[in-house]
Amino acid sequence: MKICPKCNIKVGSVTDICPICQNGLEGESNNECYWPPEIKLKKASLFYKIQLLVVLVSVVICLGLDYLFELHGKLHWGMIVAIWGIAFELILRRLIKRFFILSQVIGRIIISIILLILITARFAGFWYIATAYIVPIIILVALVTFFVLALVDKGENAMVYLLCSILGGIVPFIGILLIERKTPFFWSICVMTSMVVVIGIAIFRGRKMLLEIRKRTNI
Amino acid sequence: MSNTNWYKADNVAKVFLATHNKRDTRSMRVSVALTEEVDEEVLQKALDKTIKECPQFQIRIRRGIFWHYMEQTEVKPKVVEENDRPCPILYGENYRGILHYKVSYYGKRINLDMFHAISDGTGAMEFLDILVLNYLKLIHSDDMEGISFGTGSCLEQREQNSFSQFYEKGSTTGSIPKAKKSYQIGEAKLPYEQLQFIEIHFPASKMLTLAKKCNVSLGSFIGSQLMMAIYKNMPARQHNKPITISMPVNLRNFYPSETSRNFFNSIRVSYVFKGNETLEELCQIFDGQLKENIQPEKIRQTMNNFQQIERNIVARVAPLFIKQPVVKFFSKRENRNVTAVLSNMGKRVVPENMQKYVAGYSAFCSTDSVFIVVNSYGDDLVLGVSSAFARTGYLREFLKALNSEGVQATVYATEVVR
Repeated sequence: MKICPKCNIKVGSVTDICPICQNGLEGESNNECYWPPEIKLKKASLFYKIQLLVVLVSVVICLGLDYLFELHGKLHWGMIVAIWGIAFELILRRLIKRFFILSQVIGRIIISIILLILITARFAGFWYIATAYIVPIIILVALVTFFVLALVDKGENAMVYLLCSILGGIVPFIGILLIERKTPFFWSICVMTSMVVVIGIAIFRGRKMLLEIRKRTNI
Repeated sequence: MSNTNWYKADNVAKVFLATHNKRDTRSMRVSVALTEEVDEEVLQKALDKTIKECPQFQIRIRRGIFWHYMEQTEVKPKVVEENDRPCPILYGENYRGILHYKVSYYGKRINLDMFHAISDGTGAMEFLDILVLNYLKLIHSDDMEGISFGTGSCLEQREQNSFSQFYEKGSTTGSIPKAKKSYQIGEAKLPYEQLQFIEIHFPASKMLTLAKKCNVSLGSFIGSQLMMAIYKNMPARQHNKPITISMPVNLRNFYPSETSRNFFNSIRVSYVFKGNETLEELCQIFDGQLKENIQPEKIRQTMNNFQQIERNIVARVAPLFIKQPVVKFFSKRENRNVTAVLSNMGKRVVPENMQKYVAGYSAFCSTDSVFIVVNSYGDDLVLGVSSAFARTGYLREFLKALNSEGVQATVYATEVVR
């Protein structure tokens, strides 16, 4: 075993440097590896870094152009590009992790897309189209996807997203009904689909659904 | 086993769940070194048997709207050869697995890495003891006949949330005493969110002799030596700051609990150096503060105070996404009041027939600063040091002081990028 002459300690494992004072060691090593070989630090790939640079530079350029050619009272499209660019990078960062839960990733992408569409619609002036058509269609897709996943997912991860989608299908409809006193077509389809999904999941996974609600809402 | 069996995260687990990060993964490692090379297949069989005896760790942590909870899972653990740092990531977005513990081996050593939210050192060590016993029973069945480990408690007792069980409503002090901002050992931390793990071995008998000379326990002696070493390495302009050592206390020594989950609290020993203290004087001060803080009444009040915070109606109804950053903020603020953590796991005792196969124990805990775990087996006293700092001057002073008393250390350290 090697010895550090400065610290007067024995140092095990295959190393030439004292871990306490970082000076050189003396003596013979016993060549026994006490720890596994040096663990390589995981760093982001070059491709990811390049695309990140391209996206963020594009965002800065767009913001700059928007500011230079400022159009009073008009849409600040640079902000929209910035929000979409940052959202894209956040989603990509999550996706490139090699292990992920499918329903969790789908859920986050759907929520991100709904938020992005609503923000863009607010600035771009197509709020009615977004709220009456685009968002309910996305929620319909989510309901069907999570219903299927809830039936087949052995990891029991999809149930909570399904419950959130059901709420997403019913609560906005009730809000629109109370505020605007009308029932938009696609939201009505959403509500009916939510009820069908609730019936379906109650029949096939009723006990698990109730248990999931109880676990997630424990206070 | 289905996931209908579930329970809420306990008081301490909530803090770990809010404060884990890439460096301080909030996980711990307990290891046992055998006298022969570990056989992976046999270890896997032993692990399969152990999880049937100890199913309380077969859980998965989930997020609720208000709190985290743990539910049973049928996923089986797989033994791997050690290929990651001690105290790896075992929870969170960067974690690839389902279970929150990992069994690995390297050479003659068996490691159990566990996320601190599901158990504490006592619970983890009990699991490791049963695993090692099952392993040795498979390899040396003749020698291991009639040997058993563990407290013999039932599953309900092992899954008990003892913080809730022993909480006494109305017996709080009303406020937690305000701590002072303490000296922090280093400024520069290791790059790339690394931790350095250093295992320091001492002859236990020599250390005990030195402790007896100062008329204190071994834990107080080591704590005092550590304080003195930190002080000697402290910049002069910061000498007016207190040095605070936080020491986890096993609450099973105060309450009739056999839980495998977390059941500990931390006490602090804090001192502002004048500059002329001897080690013996410091030992007496340290020991005095330690004994004062582990009075059953004080322990009870601290535990009840923390439980009361959790039961506050505002804390209960606030959504988790608001609670997490708040807990993280206050935890970070509290960490500035602690210089280092010293956890004394005590002496490991194994049945006589097992002793010839077990060479030693060691343990580490992840940290954002410095965490030292002390345990001993036979004449081997081991300090498992986890350090986030690039500087190790305080350790050099610590070893130098013991060297001057005739105690030579043997050190094993992981390599880090500086």
